[in-house]
Amino acid sequence: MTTRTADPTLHRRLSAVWAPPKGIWRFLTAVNHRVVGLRFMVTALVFLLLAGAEAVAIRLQLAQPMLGILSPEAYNQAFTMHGSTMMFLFAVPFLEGLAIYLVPLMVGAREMAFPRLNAFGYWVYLIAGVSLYGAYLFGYAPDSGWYNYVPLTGIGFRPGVNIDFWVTMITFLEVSALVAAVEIIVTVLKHRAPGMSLDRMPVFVWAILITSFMIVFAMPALMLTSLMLALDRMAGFHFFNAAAGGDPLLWQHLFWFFGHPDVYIMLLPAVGVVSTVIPVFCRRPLAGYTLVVVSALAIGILSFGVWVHHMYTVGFAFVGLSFFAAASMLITIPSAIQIFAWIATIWNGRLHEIATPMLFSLGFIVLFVLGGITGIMIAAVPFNWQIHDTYFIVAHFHYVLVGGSVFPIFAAIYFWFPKVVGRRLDERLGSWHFWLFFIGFNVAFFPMHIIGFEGMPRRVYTYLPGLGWDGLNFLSTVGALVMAGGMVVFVWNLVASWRGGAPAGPDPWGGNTLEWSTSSPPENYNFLLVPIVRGRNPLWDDPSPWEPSLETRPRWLAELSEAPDLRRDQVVTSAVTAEPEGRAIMPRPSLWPLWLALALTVSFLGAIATLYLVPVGLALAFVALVGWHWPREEKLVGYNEEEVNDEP
Amino acid sequence: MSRELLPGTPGVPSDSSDSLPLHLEGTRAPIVWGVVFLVLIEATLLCLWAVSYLYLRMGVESWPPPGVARPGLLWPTIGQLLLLLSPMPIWIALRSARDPASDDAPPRMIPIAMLLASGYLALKAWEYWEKDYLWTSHAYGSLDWSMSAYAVFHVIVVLLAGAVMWAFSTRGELQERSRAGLQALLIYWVFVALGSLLFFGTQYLVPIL
Repeated sequence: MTTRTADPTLHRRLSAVWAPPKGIWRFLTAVNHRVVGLRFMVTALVFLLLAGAEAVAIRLQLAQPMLGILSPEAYNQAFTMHGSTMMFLFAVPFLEGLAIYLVPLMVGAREMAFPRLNAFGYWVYLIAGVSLYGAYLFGYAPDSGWYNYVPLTGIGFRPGVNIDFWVTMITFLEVSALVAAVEIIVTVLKHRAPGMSLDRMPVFVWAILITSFMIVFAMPALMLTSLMLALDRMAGFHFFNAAAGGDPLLWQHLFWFFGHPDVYIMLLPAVGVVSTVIPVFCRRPLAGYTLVVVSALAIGILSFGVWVHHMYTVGFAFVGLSFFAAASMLITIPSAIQIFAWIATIWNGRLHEIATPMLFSLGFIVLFVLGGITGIMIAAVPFNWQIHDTYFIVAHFHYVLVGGSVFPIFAAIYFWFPKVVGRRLDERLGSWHFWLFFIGFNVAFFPMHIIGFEGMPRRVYTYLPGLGWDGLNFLSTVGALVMAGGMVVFVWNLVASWRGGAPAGPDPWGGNTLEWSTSSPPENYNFLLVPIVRGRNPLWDDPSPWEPSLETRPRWLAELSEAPDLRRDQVVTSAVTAEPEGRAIMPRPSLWPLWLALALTVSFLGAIATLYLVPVGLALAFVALVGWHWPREEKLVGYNEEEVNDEP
Repeated sequence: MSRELLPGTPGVPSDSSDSLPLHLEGTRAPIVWGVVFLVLIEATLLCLWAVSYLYLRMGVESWPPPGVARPGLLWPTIGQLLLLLSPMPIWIALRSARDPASDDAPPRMIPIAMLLASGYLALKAWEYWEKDYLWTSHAYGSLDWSMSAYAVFHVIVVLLAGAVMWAFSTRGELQERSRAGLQALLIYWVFVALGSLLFFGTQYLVPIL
């Protein structure tokens, strides 16, 4: 351990080389993965609160028949923004932010592969999210559901700019998701610490890697179909206009080719979180590591073959429906393997403490199993026809998405908050948060199964009395309010613990992965010495991944650790075995990512006003890209090591 | 893994005084990996676009719609061949630049590549100037114009990237530190040419089959 901290000269030099700028310049130009990752997560949590407020408004409107809390127009905007926010502005960006923050720390790297691309992705995300909510503020929010079906969203049925905001800003958001996916893949494949071969990678990193590949292949479908709808609406194209030879069903095919993998894009990182948390609290390596990884891979592949189960009612041939029904049921097998792996880990481990991260992980297992069971029911075509577009579907996907993604996200927040902030979240408040949220969730969503069976359709802003839906709807609203209470406790806990929580120390949970070997929060450079990985659980298997010490390291290894040229050196390793191949110089802070994001905003947002702004934005983007790639030294200037060393 | 990662392992510097190389190329260079994944994203989008074309085509009896002539093949084929040839000079430049004696290969070869790609653009512009339907006419027109516009946009992108790379090469930057950048440009250029070929097959062969 002493090799990590015993060299103050090295610490000062690396701190200076890797330091983000200060003040407003830091806000505009920082590219450090921890700064960008934290920004993603905090922004996503703000969007979560907004989506939660919309959900409460929806539930209050439905608490009793014929209420007038929200007008039909306001209700349409609220449920559209709730869905769009949860899918596009919260779950995926939060998990990306978590990955951007954690992956370099987990693989023993000092930075992501493309730090400026990282910053660009964040600015795009922020601008798209703020634009959507800016439109909401002025009454121009999208209002046709989060999947924006044509022909309802065609210019003939929905004139005005509400849908234009959806198609342009969601496409813009996908740019952010795609660049994050590329940089995560390249970071994982090319910047792992020497020795961290693929079979030694943490399960969380595996899950993020598979998720990133899914993003690469799924998100283009949404970009394409959004682009087509934008062209239909803004430039008179006819992709979805049946009268001119187009086909509205094309939208559904392309949307769900993205949409169903997107469910697993939100789920797989959560699988990675739970597979990380449970072994730490059970004090044993994850049972069936290889099976869990292969299962995640199988889920990733199979998820591209099930999109039609969202479209059973459009009138396909029965043979086709049978194929997609079988594929949908098949996906339960790898999911079940993962669940059994977690149960086996708990069963054979020494569960010493059920802290809040573990509580949320256990809650995830329960809710995800329930959501999975209704998923098997929905995969059956005759059943699906009966409950299509009813509240049963609302119940199912909330069990899968809130249970399968939001609960693990809370587990992740409670687990890694000490690493990010250096302070622990309050455990008592954490328990309150869990139980309020868990009980509230089940009270809110379990009755929806029954209401769905009784025939209540989705997306109605009110209903008539006497249909038998009143009591259960009221119960759902009570559950939503209890969930909201849990969220209040959570926010209070976050704010209070951030300001005055108990100091965490570097490794409060006794973790097995490399991030727990750094200080909390980590220094600018992450690792003083580049670690050498000799096992799957580096901190449990090998207490000294920093040996040999700096003095005895060969030159190539010492150089990686020392930044002798005052540049941001990072090791490049081979994709499979992680053998050192070379050094990469990582870029310093830059304004170009923000410029590029703003330039593309001129194109995307400007298209709503006039298509002439599209080339203007692209021209500005070209200038940004030239500046971005202009050769420069990337060296820290004005650093005088002797002066710094003289400081007390 | 005991100590096998330390000197003495194949592929790892064995002399304790050795440094790891700084200017990486090929599969060792992260930028090349980044461009490969960018290409994968765009290739997925192109494939889905072509599938969408076939999906809409299967939904109607007559393709192109009645009254619309089938697309001619001669000039589009010539344009496509020019585009397919256009990455070759970059590839030659990259091979030549391995030899320090021919450092001037990229500044000489990149303009030839740009000239070939510009020929494709000129033929495309001429072809669409002659069209008697627009994207607003019918779904066939929407697909035809949008796919060509997308291909043209990408050719313009590689032309601009080629121009910037040419400017860097005249400053002597490529040979010293940015050969991976030239490799990345070549990968993207080849993708643009092959992607355009996919659209060519879809737009020009499907209507006559």
